[in-house]
Amino acid sequence: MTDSTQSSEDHLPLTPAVFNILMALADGENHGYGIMLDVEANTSGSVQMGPGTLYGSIKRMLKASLIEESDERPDPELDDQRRRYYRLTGAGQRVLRLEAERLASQVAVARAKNLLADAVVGGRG
Amino acid sequence: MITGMGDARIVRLSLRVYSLLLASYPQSFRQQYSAHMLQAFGDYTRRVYLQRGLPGLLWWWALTLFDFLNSVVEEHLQMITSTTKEKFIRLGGWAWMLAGVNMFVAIAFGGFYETSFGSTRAYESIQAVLWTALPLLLSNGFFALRAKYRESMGSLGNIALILGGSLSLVSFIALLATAALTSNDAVCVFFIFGPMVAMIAMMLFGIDALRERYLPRWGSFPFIAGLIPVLAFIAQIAAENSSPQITSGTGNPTLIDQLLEYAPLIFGVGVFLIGYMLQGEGKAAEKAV
Repeated sequence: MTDSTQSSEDHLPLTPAVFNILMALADGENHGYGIMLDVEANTSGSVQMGPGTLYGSIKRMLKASLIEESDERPDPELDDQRRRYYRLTGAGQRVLRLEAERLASQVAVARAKNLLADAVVGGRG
Repeated sequence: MITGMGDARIVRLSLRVYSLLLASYPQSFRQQYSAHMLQAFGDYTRRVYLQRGLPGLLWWWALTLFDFLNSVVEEHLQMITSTTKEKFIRLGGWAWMLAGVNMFVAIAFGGFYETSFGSTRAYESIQAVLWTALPLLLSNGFFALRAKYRESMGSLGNIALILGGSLSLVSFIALLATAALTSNDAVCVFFIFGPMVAMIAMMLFGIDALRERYLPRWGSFPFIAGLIPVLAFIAQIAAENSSPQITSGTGNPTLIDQLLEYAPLIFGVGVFLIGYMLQGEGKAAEKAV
């Protein structure tokens, strides 16, 4: 038995590492180094994910069927054949959407409490 | 991407040190991911060194060391947890295989006892040991089955396995506690109580396994192995209550007598086969871990 029998809601809330990896794969399949770069870019450089966290999370996400390995290569001639590519599964997409919605609702609450900078500015303006 | 000999000396040194650190991860994790981790680390290290120089590289190494310590502890903890669980499941499988053999041998000794072949006292002692060990073995197997299929079983199966495991254990403890008693009646109650509880639990677990279809093979075995002995005992009690002369002791054995005679054997065969399946599953899972 693997975690793949869990419902999408059972995975929530996601750890920051899992959320960042799913976000990095939302645009399409990618390899480990590519995911590290995407995570850094998506978080404006505030998160630099190390290989230990990355591959530990990948192992658990594969087991939970949130991602899967991909045999396709964007350009086989340019790419290193040793690289392993990963992509989101249907379950992974659902979990990512649910987590994004959950975070958005939290942000909405924070906004309503004037905790966000733009809300404060807006309130003062 | 700069590779191999084109790397700066400090990048090559970083790769060497990181490859040594990777040896600290559990073997299965290392086999699957260390090459990819080293590659990703190397690519990222080259980029950081080219873009931010030595200060950037030192900062990246500080992050990497924290990441390494964090993940190496987590992977080892996960491996220990998974391995312990799979070992317990495997042990439970062996316990049930042994329980099946135990029942067969105990019944066979019962046959010897009836023929008064050899020392009656010795047969009694051996039988007492075998029937006392049985609930402990059964209890172990019930808990192992629950550990294996907990996430896919229904509430009926869950309750059946908890009751089967805990009441078998209670029966074993009671047998040990009453071993010193001279009254055979008290001991006999517990000799019968343990297997009876196990048979009912097995039947209920079998119903759940048929409904939810989580056993990889022999899905109907638990139900059959539990149902036949339970039916045999119910039929015997009903027959004794309605007409005492129908049952044993009055000439030729009836169908109920025969059913009752073979019921523990059927249960024993069922227990053995499910135990065999369980230890096989545990072995495969342990290898995967």
